[in-house]
Amino acid sequence: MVAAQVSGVYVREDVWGLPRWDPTLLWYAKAVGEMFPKTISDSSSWRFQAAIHGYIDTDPELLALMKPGEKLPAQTVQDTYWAKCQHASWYFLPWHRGYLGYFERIVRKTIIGLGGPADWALPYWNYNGAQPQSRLMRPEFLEATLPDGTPNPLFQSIKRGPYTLTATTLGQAGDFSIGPKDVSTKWDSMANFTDALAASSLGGGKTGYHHGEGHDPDPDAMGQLEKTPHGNIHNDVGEWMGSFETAGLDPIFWLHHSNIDRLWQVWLSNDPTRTNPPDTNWQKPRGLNLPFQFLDEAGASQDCDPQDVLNTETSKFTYKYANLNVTSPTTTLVTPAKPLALMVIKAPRPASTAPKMIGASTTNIAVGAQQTVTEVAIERPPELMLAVKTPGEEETYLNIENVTGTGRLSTQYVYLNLPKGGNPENYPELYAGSLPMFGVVEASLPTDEHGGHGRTFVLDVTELVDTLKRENHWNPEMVTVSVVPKRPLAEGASLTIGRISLYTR
Amino acid sequence: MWRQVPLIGSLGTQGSPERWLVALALLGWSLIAVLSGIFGMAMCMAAGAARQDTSHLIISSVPMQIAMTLLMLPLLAGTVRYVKLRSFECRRRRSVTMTIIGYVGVWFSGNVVLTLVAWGAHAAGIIASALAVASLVLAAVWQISPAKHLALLACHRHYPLYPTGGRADASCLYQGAANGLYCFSSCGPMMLAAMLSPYPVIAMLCVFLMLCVERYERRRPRVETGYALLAAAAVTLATAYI
Repeated sequence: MVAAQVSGVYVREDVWGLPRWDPTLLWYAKAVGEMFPKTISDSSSWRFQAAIHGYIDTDPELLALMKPGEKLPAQTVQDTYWAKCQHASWYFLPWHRGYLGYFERIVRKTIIGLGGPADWALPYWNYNGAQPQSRLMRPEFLEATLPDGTPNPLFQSIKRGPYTLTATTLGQAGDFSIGPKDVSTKWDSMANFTDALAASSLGGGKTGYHHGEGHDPDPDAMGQLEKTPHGNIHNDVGEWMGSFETAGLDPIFWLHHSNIDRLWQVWLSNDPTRTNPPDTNWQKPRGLNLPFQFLDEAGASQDCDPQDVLNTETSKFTYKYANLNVTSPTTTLVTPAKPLALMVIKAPRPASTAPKMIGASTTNIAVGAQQTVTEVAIERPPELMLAVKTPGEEETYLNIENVTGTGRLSTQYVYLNLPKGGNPENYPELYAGSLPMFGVVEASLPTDEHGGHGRTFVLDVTELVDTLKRENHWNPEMVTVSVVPKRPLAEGASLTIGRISLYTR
Repeated sequence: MWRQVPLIGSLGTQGSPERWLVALALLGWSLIAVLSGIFGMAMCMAAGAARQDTSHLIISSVPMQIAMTLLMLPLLAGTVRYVKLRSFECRRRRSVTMTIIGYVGVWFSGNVVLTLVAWGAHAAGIIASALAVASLVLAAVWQISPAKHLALLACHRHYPLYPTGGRADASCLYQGAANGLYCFSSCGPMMLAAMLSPYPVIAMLCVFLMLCVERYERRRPRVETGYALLAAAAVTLATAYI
């Protein structure tokens, strides 16, 4: 079946709910095959679309794709439309919604031009789906040929990280080691879209355009949805998906972001009290580089404000999702899913509450191939640090600051107070959160817009700290933080953490 | 005991730092207005001061260096917010103060160097209009260079801060000084051009507005600015010789 168009509204389907080589995927593959060879200066080309997300003219992967004598678009075009992805910002979700919307229209036009269905819509990869194999990549993205025996553009020439093949009813699906930690539904426990502490929000802190220093006190921190599952999936699929500049080249990127866009809708629909920010600076931001600008399927420039895309069915993109259900991740691929209702939902708190630092490490931390342990001294009266707080009374955050790196980096998992020499897998109760490395290498370059100071991650460890206190495993003067790489550090790669600190509010 | 000796009052560490940094910048502009009224617009700038003796140079120039340094403080707002958040509550004022000292120290030193360069050029007998044209061309070339782009990006880089003791002070000083150094590298040539301009105060205002746009636009130095500087050089040349 092809995604249906109901009353003029396109329907985005769960890719794992589609039959093998469903026309939605088959026509998507044909569109990729049509768009990929186009010259990069053509706004409907695959590489132009990927460059909207990120572009560096010295990236060897991008240079390798340039054809002899091929010219880039005019500098003014590059300045206006390229390398505009919004990350670590409260514009992350609305910007990507606009990006996907225009991309979908361009692909649809391409498909119609190829004789395909006029109601084609971008499917989504729901890694929290009801099917046990939902964390696997669909077989159609891993097969060398299309059903007619021609090369498969969803697979050919696409660079991805290591994976193993797992048999499913639909064929050999890809296991990229996407685990429950990588698709955590913690984002759905966030009460607010934005918050003074970005890690305590769905959509990120109040920032300026791009990764700008707006009014958020922690300008580099990202919202929960952007961190996990968004960043983790980028890291786990790896290679092209692992960096801003090449991510959009992988056809799975668009299904991944279709799901992230869907999860925003899920968050809103799960509780009627949840709302998008009413702030004018978010709804209709103005200033340099604003409003967001995209090129549509006719190559015409289009302004796009967040307020223009909030209602997906009445917006210029007119779409909806076939399903707004999400289940909590299971530890194995075959265990029945735990219902989301079991999760603790955070109570809303005033967004103006400012966090206070209560401890910090004293040296740069070079993250090794295995487990890296750091001690963080706590500068606060012990009696305050031993008291178990009632829910909502006090929150505790772990700040992983100035994370910089080179090479291909995998996601890092963080544990508190692991016993010396202990295997982290044996202590799931001490797990604090994950650090997806998506964007870290770019943020470490001197050419990055913040001069290469890297990324900062904030983990909400309130429940974990309270549990440790209750079980008398909490030292009020010191906490040990273990950083464990999901995959060993690749040859030539390096990863450094500037400082680890502890905050309360 | 540093905990009992706040170097900047609560004005500096509560609420939004933009307000008091902008207030200090306004103080700087007021100083410039007053000083230019006392000494004459051109006289209070390096070019004017260069025509005076050393004592007059100090009287007219040093307050102007202070004023010019104050102008730059709003560009430090993001860093002040960062340092405040990344410090223990009991030492936030001290951390912010150290950061500002580092930043201001670099800018003040840089402004003095620019003044001495201008003074030296005048002392060597170089014609004022030739100096102005040369500085505008230099600023234009710098404006479109990759090095300027890197300096602009690095001028708001945040460094990890040591949490306590003298090393915390040192890391805050370093944070401010590093931001100041890159900021001065990014803006210095244009500041020199403004100082050597026949209308220094107006030129300084234009440069400041442009720096704010550049700083918060956070993309790349505008090529148009380079062209504008070249046009200004051409106008200066034409005014002097036609």
